[in-house]
Amino acid sequence: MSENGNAYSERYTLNLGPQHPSTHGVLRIVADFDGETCISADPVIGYLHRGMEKLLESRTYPQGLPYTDRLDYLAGVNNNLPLALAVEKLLGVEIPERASLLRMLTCEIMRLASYMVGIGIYIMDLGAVSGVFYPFQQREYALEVMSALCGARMTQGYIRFGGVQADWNDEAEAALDVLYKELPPFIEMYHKLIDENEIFLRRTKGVGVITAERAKSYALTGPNLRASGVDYDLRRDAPYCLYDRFTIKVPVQQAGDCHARYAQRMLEVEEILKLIKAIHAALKETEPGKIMGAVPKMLRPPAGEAYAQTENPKGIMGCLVASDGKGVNPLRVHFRRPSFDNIAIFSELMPGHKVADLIAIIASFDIVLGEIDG
Amino acid sequence: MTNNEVKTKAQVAAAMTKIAGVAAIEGTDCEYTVEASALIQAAEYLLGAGYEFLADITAVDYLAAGHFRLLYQIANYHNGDIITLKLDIPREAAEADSLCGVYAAANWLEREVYDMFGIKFAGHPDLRRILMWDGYEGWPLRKDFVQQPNKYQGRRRLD
Repeated sequence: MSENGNAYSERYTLNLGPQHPSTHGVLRIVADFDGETCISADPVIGYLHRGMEKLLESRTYPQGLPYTDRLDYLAGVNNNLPLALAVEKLLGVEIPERASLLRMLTCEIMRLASYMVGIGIYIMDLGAVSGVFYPFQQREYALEVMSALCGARMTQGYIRFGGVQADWNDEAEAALDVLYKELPPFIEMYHKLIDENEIFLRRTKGVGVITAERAKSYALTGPNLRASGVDYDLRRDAPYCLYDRFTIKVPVQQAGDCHARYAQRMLEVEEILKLIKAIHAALKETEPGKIMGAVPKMLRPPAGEAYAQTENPKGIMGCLVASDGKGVNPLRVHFRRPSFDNIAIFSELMPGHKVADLIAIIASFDIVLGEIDG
Repeated sequence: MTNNEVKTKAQVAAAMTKIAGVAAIEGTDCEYTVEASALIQAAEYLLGAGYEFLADITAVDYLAAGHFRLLYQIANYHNGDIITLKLDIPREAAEADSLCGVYAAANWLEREVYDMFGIKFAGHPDLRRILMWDGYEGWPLRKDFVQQPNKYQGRRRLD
């Protein structure tokens, strides 16, 4: 008998990834197993490291902005925002109201698109391959809005220092109406499809439980944090842009297991839709045209360090910009990438679980490797 | 911990400046310079004061001034207040105390700083490279880093 009670078990090392479909990219996990039970897990990252922070040091500020889309490439606009906010903090630029609303609207639309991928891939990793196509259809409606608005589906580079690139137009309006029409029936249908599925419940309930205390110590953020019972959302608790104008309801789950992380995202999708409608209504009341603040042609922020945070689909994204006050390039840009901090808990969370549970845990975190590796 | 138990910026300022080696930066209400000896004490105080969220650790290389500046962003899970600790360490003796004993999140964040700047963290349980591969030489985000030449010589003709 081995120490975990298995009759005949053998210790071995299983190399999960980096080219494994359920690792959402090039995540590699070196795990030791005793029979079927994981005894240690070590995430190995860096396979998609592009030296983003080094690259940005050799580019001017406006040249550097589109690179950030490639961090969390499922929600490009959301990554532009913290860099823009940090640089604007250094410059002291005022952002027009309409530009702020457009930033928020596009961020929420891309948040929705990102959640759709997160939910769909999660279900697919648990074996329900058809479950991925319904959310991807909804994601397509969201990307259509972005495409109509600024001409790009995924890596939009829509946010500029001082404002946004393009004003709201009729085509985007029509695409958004399609989203309004299609999303509510989808949510209802998807709940029916997944919520009481016995395979799904057995594979996720009680698996990968994170207590609120451990979640805080590991600096988890976003839906993964809220699924562990910590009620914290930057948009409500420390509003940036104009989020303080809107009432944002933040759902919270208490269980902290893989199922709670799924349920959390599904509940948040409904809130995102409400928020999109509210921001859209507010946008209609502002005058079209003024979408850029008074920004100098050549950006030379004064010397100093500025840090800005935003609530991104994967968690809280932070951006530190240090300027020496002389050059047109930043001295240093650093991103706090939420997925990077979220998966640090894997080596503590995974031991004690079975091989198949590891897949459920990875999938439930909704990670993006572009963001983890930077 | 409820919202009331998180100390305000003013309360933090009153207590932080009493710690030897911590000084508030003029013109700000939440930024402090700390000395290497006071770092852990300051972090432990902040954790006890409700600042449970170690958002970020990173460094900036001030080559001309001859030092690295470590920046710790310590926030809470209630109101978005961030306390920034700034620690200057000399470039030739790039070492600081590890915060792993205070915040679990410090583990990976410090590994990333070590990987990119070669700053060592005393007391870190597992200080190895995280983004670059094992065996990689050099510290990429240092300002005096010279990029290794690309070993790829172009496609060989097959004739």
